[in-house]
Amino acid sequence: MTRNEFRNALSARLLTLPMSESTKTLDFYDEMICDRIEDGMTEEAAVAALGDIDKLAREILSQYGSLSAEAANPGVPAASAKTDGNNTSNKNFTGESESDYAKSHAGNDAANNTSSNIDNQTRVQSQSHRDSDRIKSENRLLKILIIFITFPIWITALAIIISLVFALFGIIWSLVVSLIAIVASLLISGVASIGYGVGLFFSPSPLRALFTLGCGLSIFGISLILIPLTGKCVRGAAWLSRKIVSPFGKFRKK
Amino acid sequence: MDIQLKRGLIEICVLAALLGGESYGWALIKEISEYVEISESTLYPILKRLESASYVTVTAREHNGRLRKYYALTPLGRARVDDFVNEQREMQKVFNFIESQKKKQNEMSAIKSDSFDC
Repeated sequence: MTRNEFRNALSARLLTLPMSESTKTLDFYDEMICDRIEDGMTEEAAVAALGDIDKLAREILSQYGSLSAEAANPGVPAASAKTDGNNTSNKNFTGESESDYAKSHAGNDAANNTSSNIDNQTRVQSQSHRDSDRIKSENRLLKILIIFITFPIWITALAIIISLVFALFGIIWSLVVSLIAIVASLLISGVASIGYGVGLFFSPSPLRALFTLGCGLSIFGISLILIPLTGKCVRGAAWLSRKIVSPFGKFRKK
Repeated sequence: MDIQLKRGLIEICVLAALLGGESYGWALIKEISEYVEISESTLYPILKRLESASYVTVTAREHNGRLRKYYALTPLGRARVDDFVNEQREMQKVFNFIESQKKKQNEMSAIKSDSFDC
């Protein structure tokens, strides 16, 4: 098997693990293969050195289950091994193997049972962890399927929201533009009236000239006052438009 | 050997192998397998456990265009090795006691069998 074939085959057997855990494990074994190759082994031999892939996957899955169980009960890892080791190491002081000792000293059945119970417990816990992981990945698949099926509903809702946003934009900015137009026209008509009024002074009615001049000057004055107000309105409209767009920026980041 | 006991011993081996400085997975396996049989599937969960207990730190370094994980001892890890050595001294005392008791038992049974010969 090549390095990539091994990684793909192992990955397929670790689907019940969370993505981050599975990637970390695959990277670890990948690193081992690369290091062996660097040491002079062939790729085939390096992969073969890892053993039977099904057995490896089973070990990885059961270890993940028992490691999660240990994480739930925080305790110094070597200490836990030590306490279990003390119970069983009593049996091994004379150097006999565990099974031989158990056969020759049947009275220690209780001790044997507790150590095998611990193994059963971790095996049951790892099984339930595998099951809950399978359920989690099934839920994810279900969610994706639901999103796919309700496509016409949410796409219409999205279209409505987008057009509403555009309408809002249109309202704000058309208001601003009309304000600018008003101020501009006041300015221009003010200047025009001033000019006309001055011109009227050369006509037989000086009162008319004065009146027109007066009107022109006041209109011009009003427009001047309104200019900074318009500036503030434009800035406010820009701020408002930015505020409307920002919640959608969060969606884009998702 | 009991699995839990063996796992605990290999954990100490890994910590001890890092006493000389940081190392990486394959080098650890090569070093330790001269004394105790060890495989990748045994080493991986042990390294994970040691890291979560803050006995070792893990750093990814670039090596020949790929990332390699290097493991280094923390002061806590170093203390754990010292503890283990002290524990072994205690165990050795118990061993010695048992040996002396067994020797006594053998001597007693030898004397008894001699006395019957009269």
